[in-house]
Amino acid sequence: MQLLTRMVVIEGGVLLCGLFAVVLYKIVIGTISLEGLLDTKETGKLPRKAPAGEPGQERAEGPRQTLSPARLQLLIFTVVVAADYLHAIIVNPRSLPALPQGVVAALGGSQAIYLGGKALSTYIQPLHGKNR
Amino acid sequence: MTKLPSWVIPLLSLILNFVVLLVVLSKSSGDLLVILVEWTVLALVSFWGFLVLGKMANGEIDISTLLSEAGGGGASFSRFQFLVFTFVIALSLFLVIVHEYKFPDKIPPEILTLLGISASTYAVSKGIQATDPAKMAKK
Repeated sequence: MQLLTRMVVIEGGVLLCGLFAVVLYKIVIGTISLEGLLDTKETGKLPRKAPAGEPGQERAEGPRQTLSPARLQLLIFTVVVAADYLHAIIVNPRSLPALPQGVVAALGGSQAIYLGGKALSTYIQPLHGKNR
Repeated sequence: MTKLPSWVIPLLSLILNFVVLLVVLSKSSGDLLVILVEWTVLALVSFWGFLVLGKMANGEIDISTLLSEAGGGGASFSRFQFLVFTFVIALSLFLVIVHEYKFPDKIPPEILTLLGISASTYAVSKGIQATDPAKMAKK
């Protein structure tokens, strides 16, 4: 193999792996925060724990964060599709493998559920709360 | 532990590339100008690449908000998904190029669709956030 090609492969590999390593390291140590990744970000009144003997009160407006099933299913789909693709390329690195149409459709559907959930919590739920 | 200045590794890579270039030039009987241009481009690209990487690792280039939305609210799932797919496809492309020593003849349309879906989700998600009635009422 030509020396120039070998150097390009080595330096390109080190740069690419270095970039992945820096981002992953910063995620692991918490510099890049993943906090709230699976939470819904709803605005509304937060229930406050009432002191003994006092009725419950509501705290001022602020984000209410709860685990979002739509985000959870999208995370699972994303990880499964990414792992499957990596496995396919490691088994046969001759060309970029094509993803089955069904997987793309499933991921599209998964994204649609996520966006639908987000739109629902942003537009519909506040109206529902006002009417009560 | 003291931090290594971000320019050390790029400088080492630059020196390494030029040392190899000198060795190649001393042994080569081909077109010297072509060899000189090829190795200079490689040396400069790797120098800038390692410099940016070093600054990211040191924190001089701040990537702490890579997954966060502007204005708080925690990590963004769309950004996270975009990051995962970008990493996977970049790594796959690199593996194919290393194996075949050429750029793939064809990028499968499903891959482009996948990235397109991911990017569209991010855009629509930003649109929903921007038109959030609760936020608009506060303005």
